[in-house]
Amino acid sequence: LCSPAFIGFEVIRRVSPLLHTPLMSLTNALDAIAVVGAIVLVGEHKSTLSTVFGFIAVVAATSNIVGGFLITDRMLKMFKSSRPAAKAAAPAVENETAEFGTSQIRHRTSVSHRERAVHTLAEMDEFANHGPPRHLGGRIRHAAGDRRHAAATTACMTTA
Amino acid sequence: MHDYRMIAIGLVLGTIIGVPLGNVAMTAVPQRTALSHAFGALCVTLVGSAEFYLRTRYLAIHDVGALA
Repeated sequence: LCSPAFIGFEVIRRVSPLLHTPLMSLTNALDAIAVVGAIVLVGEHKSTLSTVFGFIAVVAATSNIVGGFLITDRMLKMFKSSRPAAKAAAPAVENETAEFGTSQIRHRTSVSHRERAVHTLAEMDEFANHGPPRHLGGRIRHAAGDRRHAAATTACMTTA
Repeated sequence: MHDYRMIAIGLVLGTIIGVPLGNVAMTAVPQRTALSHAFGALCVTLVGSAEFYLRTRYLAIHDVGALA
């Protein structure tokens, strides 16, 4: 009796408050595991009363499963869609650093790996003297990405 | 065969109820969750009541107490 309570508490404890609503929704959906008992009850068909009870129970639990998982999926999709907004905020930071000159931009080290692909060409130009850092190795081979951002990088280089 | 049909009808009916429940407005989520909790409680209550009704005669007294 104590061990499941401990496991449940440990699972819940680290969840951020932002995710409490989807967590409640999903837990509610998982609660509908009682549909197994309801199906057994209907399948036994021991008496009319138990069959009717089981039927209502199957309907209630199934609506819980379907609705619960659907709405949890919708909520989690909303969390995913907020990521491009963070990406769109990145150019503003770039303009801010432009005040210090493009050489400063080339030396950025605090950019995440995903954003690094943008200035690959400029960085390759700079790394002609000393080899590129090891963590850029995978990104340079993305030829399509290089071509897509070629205009931006050449513009960055001509201003230098 | 009749019993399987009852289960299938229950599953389909529950899905038909559940799809609109999964597409409510985001502002109505707390109410929806509460209603969903009520459905879960209804399910568990019905299963427990039916099991109690069916098995009370064949169980020892302490099992009946645990079931109740």
